Amino acid sequence: MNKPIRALVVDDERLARKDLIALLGAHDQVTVIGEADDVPSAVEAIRALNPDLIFLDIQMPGDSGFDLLEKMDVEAQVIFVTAYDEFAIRAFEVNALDYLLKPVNPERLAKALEKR
Amino acid sequence: MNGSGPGEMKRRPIAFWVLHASGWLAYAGASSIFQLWGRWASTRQVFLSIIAYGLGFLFCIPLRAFYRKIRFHELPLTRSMVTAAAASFLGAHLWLGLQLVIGLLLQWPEASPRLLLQAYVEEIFTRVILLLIWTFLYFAIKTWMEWRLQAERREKANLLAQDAQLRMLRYQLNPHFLFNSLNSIRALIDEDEMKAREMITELSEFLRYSLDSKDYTDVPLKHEMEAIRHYFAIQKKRYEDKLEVVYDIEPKAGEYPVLSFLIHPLVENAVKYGMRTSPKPLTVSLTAKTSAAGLTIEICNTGRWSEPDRPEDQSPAGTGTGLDNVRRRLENAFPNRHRFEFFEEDGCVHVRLEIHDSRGVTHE
Repeated sequence: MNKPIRALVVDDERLARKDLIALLGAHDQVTVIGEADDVPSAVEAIRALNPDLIFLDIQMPGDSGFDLLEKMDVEAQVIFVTAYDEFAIRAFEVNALDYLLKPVNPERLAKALEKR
Repeated sequence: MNGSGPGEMKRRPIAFWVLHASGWLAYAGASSIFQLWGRWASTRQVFLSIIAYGLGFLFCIPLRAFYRKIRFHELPLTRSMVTAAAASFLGAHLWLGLQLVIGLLLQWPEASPRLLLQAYVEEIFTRVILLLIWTFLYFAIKTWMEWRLQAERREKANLLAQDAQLRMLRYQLNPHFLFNSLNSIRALIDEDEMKAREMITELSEFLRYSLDSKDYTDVPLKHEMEAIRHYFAIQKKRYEDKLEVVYDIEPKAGEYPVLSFLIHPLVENAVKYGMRTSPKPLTVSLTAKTSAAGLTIEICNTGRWSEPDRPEDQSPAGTGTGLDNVRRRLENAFPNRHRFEFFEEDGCVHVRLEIHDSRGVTHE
């Protein structure tokens, strides 16, 4: 259960990424190996770093989080992180590991990580 | 009576009595004038006339009660005609009969029963006709009033439905904006405490305005602009150097009355689609000026026009942020005196809104 997890955080807002990374700091087994602020840089980061887990925002400038998953075959597991729950059903359809609402509740984050 | 409001309940009996009394008075008056044209009537004849017409007036009351009891207005046509004829026939006889009795009691030669009986057919005929006419008028007027009432009710229902629709079109707080802002505040707390506090202040000011449930149609533009300034203050803290905002609001334009949250959906769209299509930094500019014709507001954002074609682009249902909603609200509040257009020019998307003065009204 305590395998090291290499995580990538994708969100167009710096503050949102910062907040999530701060929360992940409480989980020793998670190491944030990179950040991306849009889909093109996320694609690059995934190819270069090969993360185990991706925290993915949905509404981003240009392509959305869903577009990213359509554009490339992602081996990593995906946890969607977004402000409002209208996309929950679609998240199911793409086999996401979980769906977290911003501002993320630390307990909810812990539960999501346990699913791995 | 089913489903009448309190006002309606009071109006109908009053209407009946007023019409009934004035109808009989008018008939009595006209009839007397014709009968006595050029001749002078003795006091007794006048008295007898009053009795005759008075009895008519009185007989209609039990007749009306009878019609209500048997639910006349629900009868099919032929049956109602037969019933009316029968009731009038019987009523006419009772009426004549009472007059005979009064004649007997008074023992005046002018009121002699024999006089009445000699002209039996004529007397009965006149009374039957009168009662039939009365019946007809009673139901005709009743039906007309019923119809008026229905029309009023339909009108009210329409207004309520419209009102409800307008409420739906009203701006409702965008949950993405709220939760993203809270998220940013949390992240700022240990990085820049001052900014975090400011953001909380801006957010509460914005919420105070946007959570107001009344739908104002005469908010001075400057109040709207205040809410927009709070909104942009928050967005700038979130997007940092990716967003620039420029204001150019004429003081006179600030006094012009507009709909609450009319502009805000346009501003949100500018940020949303601008963030997607514009090179950084996204620049949003708001201008407002007045002229002889009225008020002109323009919202520009760098970037390109894009259709909201993906599910994640749609406004969360019922948040009143679509361009369509803005258009409908404008049409409702300023029918035929507004213009709403958008176009792309010089690398910017322009949304222009004009509200024209109603005739004779000036805004200083």
